Amino acid sequence: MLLAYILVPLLGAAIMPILRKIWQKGTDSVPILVTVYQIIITGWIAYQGIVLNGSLNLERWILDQVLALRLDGLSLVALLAIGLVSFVTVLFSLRYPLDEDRRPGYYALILLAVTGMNGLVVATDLFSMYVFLEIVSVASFILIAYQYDEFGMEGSFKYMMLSAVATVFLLVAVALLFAITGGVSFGELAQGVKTGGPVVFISFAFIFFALALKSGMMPFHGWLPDAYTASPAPVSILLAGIVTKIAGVYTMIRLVLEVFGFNSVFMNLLLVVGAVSTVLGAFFALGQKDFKRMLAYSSISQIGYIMMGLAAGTPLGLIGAVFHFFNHAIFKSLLFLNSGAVETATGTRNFDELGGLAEKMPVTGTTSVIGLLSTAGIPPLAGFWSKLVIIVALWMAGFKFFAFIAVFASIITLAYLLLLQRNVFFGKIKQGLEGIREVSPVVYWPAIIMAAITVFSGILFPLVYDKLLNPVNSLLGLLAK
Amino acid sequence: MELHMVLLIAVTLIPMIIAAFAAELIKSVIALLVGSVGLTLVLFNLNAPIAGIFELSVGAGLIAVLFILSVSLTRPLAKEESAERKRQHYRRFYVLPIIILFLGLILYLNKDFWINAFPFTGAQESASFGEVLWGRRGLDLIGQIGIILVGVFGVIVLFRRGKMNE
Repeated sequence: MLLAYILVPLLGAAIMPILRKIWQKGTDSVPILVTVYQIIITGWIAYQGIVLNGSLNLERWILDQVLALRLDGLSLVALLAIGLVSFVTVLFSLRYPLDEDRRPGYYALILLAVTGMNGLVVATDLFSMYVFLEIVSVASFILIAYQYDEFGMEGSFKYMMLSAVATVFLLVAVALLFAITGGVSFGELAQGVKTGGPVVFISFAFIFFALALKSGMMPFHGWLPDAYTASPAPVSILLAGIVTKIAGVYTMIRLVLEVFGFNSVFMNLLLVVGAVSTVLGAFFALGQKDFKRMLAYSSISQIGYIMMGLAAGTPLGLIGAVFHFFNHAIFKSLLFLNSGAVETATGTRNFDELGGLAEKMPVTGTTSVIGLLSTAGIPPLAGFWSKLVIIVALWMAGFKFFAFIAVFASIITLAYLLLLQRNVFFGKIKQGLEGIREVSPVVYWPAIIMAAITVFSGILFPLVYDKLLNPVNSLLGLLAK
Repeated sequence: MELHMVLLIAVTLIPMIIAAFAAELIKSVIALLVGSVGLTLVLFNLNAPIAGIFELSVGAGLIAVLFILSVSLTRPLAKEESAERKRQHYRRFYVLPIIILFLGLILYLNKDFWINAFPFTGAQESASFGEVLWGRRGLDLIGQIGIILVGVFGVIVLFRRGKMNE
């Protein structure tokens, strides 16, 4: 059953060249079907509540057992986020001006990125995680450079170089851990690190730097603004919405839970880097004049929140981190969808050339307000709950200074996002933009879907907690082992 | 040391040296692939099949895809320029063998220190190569298929665009 999460998108990608030859229009349908399948299956598992007591029962699924795949509360949230973000990415791509000749290859790469993310999420050993992480990374390099222009190549090159450094760090950590534990499965690693001594600390440091680079946390963020800005709009949605979250943040949460535990040295490192990311990311965002670049720095800031939640080292902190991970995937995709819509309609992302678009693009303007309010943590939207839980968790864990930092950064977040909204959507329409119209429904419907999820997962927070976040509690059993 | 082990080390080292010194990228990549396979066999002979599989996954799988992807985006030089570059190319490596031999000697003379500094005892492998490859690392094989597909589609997508630009 879980193997299907890997095989379905992999086969979807593999059949693209054949489909291109025999039925060109069908190449649009395959990625939509694959991502909808993932949303339905994962949504059904969440709704049934069958991972409440640990992980999904896979007695009947021999291949899943042979390959040691697993689905628990954390992977459930991640798989749902991957499905939703990749679905809106594909939907947005339908009308995005891509070379028709290369479109099937583009969809294949998106599906392969989904394959990599899904594989990483259901894998239960560090080396398999690394292999799937590399699928995601290599697919991302190519997607960033897709337009084959100078900026795309530069963004891709920066990401590739820093990612190569991250890969070396990760491989060294795998080698060290393998040498002291004799295995790479989470179980073997967890047993081994208990007696590993300084090698464990060195390994954690390598893994931490690798994943901080992959997720773009400060001060390891050098590639991120360029990569997000240079990518085609739908690729930015995928990258900002889910790729960096899975490659960096999910992997970090998983390894802390399964292998390293809430060790005070590790957690303090996470807490400090998380806080630096949160505050500096927000300040850097404040100074930007490019729509996507501002959102890129905002992403760096929000990842810091997730890390601080995790570093609180308590069940509440973990739930806050996981919920903010999910929310960030949704509202950041929404804001990147809006930026893509604005760029498609006006041909620019520069604030100096934009203004008053809400009148001409009411759907994009409205969904943008929802996205920004949720990012800033305004009630009753989803972002409010996740930030609240993180702040309360930090406070209760005794990290009062960091709780204060989280509140302070939230105020800066509101400031720069209001600035964005004012520059782009409010006020009088800018000269030369009088003739623009709202983008096509295929482009704004993904934004409506994401906005609806943001609103309803905030209003119906008790239901979300019950179905999506409560299973995360079962993970805490791992820490006791 | 047994003869087959000496041969395997030679099969690993010679291509690795060619990979480092070759003037043409494509020759370097191919040599690196051969060297990786050689190293896999060395590890297998040292009763380290899991490490061997990892080397095969990373060296001959993932890294090769990245290199081939990059090489496919480069443009070959004109014949005269290529010949001149080759002449220049080898000059910069004159000192390198001395440095490598010197470092190797230092490591060899202090080998007891390094062995004691990292008392790794965890990696005890006993399974066969096939058992490890198919039984324990099956998921990596699926991942490798994904990596190869990414490489193929990457070359198609970027190379086609490059051709269009020309």
